[in-house]
Amino acid sequence: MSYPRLFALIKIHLVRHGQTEGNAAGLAQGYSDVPLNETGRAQANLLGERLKNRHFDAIYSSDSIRALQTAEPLLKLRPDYSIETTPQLREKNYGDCEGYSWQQLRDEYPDVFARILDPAIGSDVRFPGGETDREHMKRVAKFTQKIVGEAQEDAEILVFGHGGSIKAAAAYMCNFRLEDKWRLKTDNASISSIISEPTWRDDGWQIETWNDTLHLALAQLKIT
Amino acid sequence: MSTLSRSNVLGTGPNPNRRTIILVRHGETQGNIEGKAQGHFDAPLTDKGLRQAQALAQRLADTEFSAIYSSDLQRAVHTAEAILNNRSDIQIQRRPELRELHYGTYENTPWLAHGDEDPTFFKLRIEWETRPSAKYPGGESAADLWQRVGDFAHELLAKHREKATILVVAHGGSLQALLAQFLALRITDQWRFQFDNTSISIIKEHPMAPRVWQAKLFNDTTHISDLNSHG
Repeated sequence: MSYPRLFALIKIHLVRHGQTEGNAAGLAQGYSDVPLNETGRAQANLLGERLKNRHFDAIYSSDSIRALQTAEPLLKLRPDYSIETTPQLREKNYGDCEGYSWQQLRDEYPDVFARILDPAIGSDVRFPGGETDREHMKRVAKFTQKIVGEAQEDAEILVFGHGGSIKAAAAYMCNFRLEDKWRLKTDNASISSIISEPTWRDDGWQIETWNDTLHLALAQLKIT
Repeated sequence: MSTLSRSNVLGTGPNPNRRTIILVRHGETQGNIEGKAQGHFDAPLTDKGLRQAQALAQRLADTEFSAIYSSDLQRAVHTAEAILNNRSDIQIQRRPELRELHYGTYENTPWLAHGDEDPTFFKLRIEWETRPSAKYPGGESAADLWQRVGDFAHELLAKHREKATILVVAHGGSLQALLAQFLALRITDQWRFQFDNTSISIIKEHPMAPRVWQAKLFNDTTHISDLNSHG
């Protein structure tokens, strides 16, 4: 069934980077430029296999090494693709607290931690020297505005980013409250897709799929 | 809704009674093929719709459900029955609260025809999305749907207080309202989620915080990718 289109149809596929040692240990990594670990590299390979026969009109990545390494296997399988990197897609900057575990953040900055978790004010709270969620979303929003502005009708756009920046992009496009974005989980090397609604409103972005990790293991078919 | 929390506070310790809910939209109907707003119009599954449900049954074959709830409309019930595939240990609980939105005078009406000939149908749709009290003539508003689905969610959580895996089979509109309420989103956010036929979505309670829910997977249809590519 096809409906008359009033607006362009655009799909953005948001990929979270593969696992790092920091992910495995539960650390806030932010701007820190840490590479994938062995698991993460294996995940990136499986992701490349999953995506190699798909067509993408444009591919973007955060300039953090963990995002670039996640894109690498696909680019090897598809030498016809090129990638544009940008710091706008980086994870939220945790400032002086980069590399801290959540427990450490809680123990050493109990006031900041408590305020960040308060939905009424949390989006405007920062760890010392770091970014707020709102500042982070604003730069991610600039990126999404740019790629949507440049996209042609029926564009399929692939983006390699981070848990925080993927959620910020989806929350911005779907007009969710910023403080609700963590309700959508993103696992390492997951694919989440958002799609414009071309038939009835020009701000009609929807979540098409979220946190698809089928390529990582057939065991994912089992619900645990 | 008092049984669902908007709190971001990550709780005080592990939540051993962590609950999981699997949301499934019904399989294809003739109305889906024709692009109709079906609402409470009680259409059966097509052959393809039944095959989609059987493919999902295979995917869920090893999953043990604590309870199964379905909209009482036949496209949902038949999808739930196919998933159960004659398992004898569990009954499908049919719930009218899980029915699709009632479109009033627009029941079982093609979106396309009204977009062409009667632009008010599209206008109503946008109004419905942005103004919760806006009703389709003779039908329901977003607030009406939100309320009845919320009543069901309330009851569900009261009934299943311990670790459980619960299957809910329903419709695009009622699942949007259910998902948005579990994730503590706004009523005007609900239509942002696209549920495809026999898609599977998984929401889980936070491991450290009771009554705080997150989406682990949304609108996955990989079990029917073969059916889709071969028509």
